[in-house]
Amino acid sequence: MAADQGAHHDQDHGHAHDHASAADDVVPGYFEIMETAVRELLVEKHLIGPGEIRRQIEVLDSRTPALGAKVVARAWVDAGFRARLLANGRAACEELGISFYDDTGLMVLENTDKVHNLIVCTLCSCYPRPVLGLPPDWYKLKPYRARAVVEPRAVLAEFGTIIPDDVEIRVSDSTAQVRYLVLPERPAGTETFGEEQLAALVTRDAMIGVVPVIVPGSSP
Amino acid sequence: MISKEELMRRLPTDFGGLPAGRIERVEHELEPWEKRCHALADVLDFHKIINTEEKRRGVEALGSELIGSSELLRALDRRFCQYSVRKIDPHPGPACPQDGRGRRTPSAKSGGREIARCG
Repeated sequence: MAADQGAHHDQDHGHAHDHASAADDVVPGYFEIMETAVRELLVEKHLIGPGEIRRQIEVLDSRTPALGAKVVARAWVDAGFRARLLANGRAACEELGISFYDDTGLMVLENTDKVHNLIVCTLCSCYPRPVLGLPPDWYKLKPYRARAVVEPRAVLAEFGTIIPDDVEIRVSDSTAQVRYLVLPERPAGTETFGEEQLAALVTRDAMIGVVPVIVPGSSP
Repeated sequence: MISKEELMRRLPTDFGGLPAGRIERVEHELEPWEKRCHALADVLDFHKIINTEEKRRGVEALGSELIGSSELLRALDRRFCQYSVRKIDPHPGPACPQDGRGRRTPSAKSGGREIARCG
């Protein structure tokens, strides 16, 4: 076969450019073919429109932890917004122009010097996707899902987060209808920071609750 | 391995409280087809074709051994696709086409229905 291809490409076939060899072609895997087949079938049966997947990919691409960080920073600088956020997370996010493309509610859990929150989904991978984007792999895999609810201090320690014994740890298990977002504590030394500077400090993992927000160069 | 007693008491997807190893902070950049899978799941939800609970039940049907394995993430996508097609085309048909080694060979062009019947 390879010899045949080589012979073919040795021939002058009327145009001058390099042909990639068959070996260079990327062969789609089983799951990729499965996805394509399902999508084509759905379109063929008029159950979804041909452009809907592309449009939803654009939505997914627009959802990153930067949105959640914007929410957190606003809550840190605006007490009224913070109160509304804690009362109804979804409505407060929508105030900032963050739409919810699914039918989920959002509960925002505030970390304090007395309480540290951690979120998990023990059943699958429920996650506040409209404000954080898609979850990291470790959030969906067994070790985190299994252990977060029974030994959260040990789990947090594996992320380098040591919670003092006098601080209560609350683990919230997400559901299909209710998703959680952690409102981390504002770090000391940021009193003069503007909202954008604050947002730049807030990481995805801090909004899951596995790490605190820290100012670069400071000790956690 | 989860004991039979455990299986009687909990769903196979329910990992909460089970013994498990150290958390490896793995992440990967989604391949285009994986992202399309996520988008497809959302679109099917918008159309009320498959909701989160149904997706979860589809995953449960995979069985506890696969769910607990490192192949879980890929298995989720596979089960989701199979469940999707079964729901829109529930009538059983001929067996999946197979290659010379007995492996299923879904065809992107016409294999959707065939895959559905394998699920």
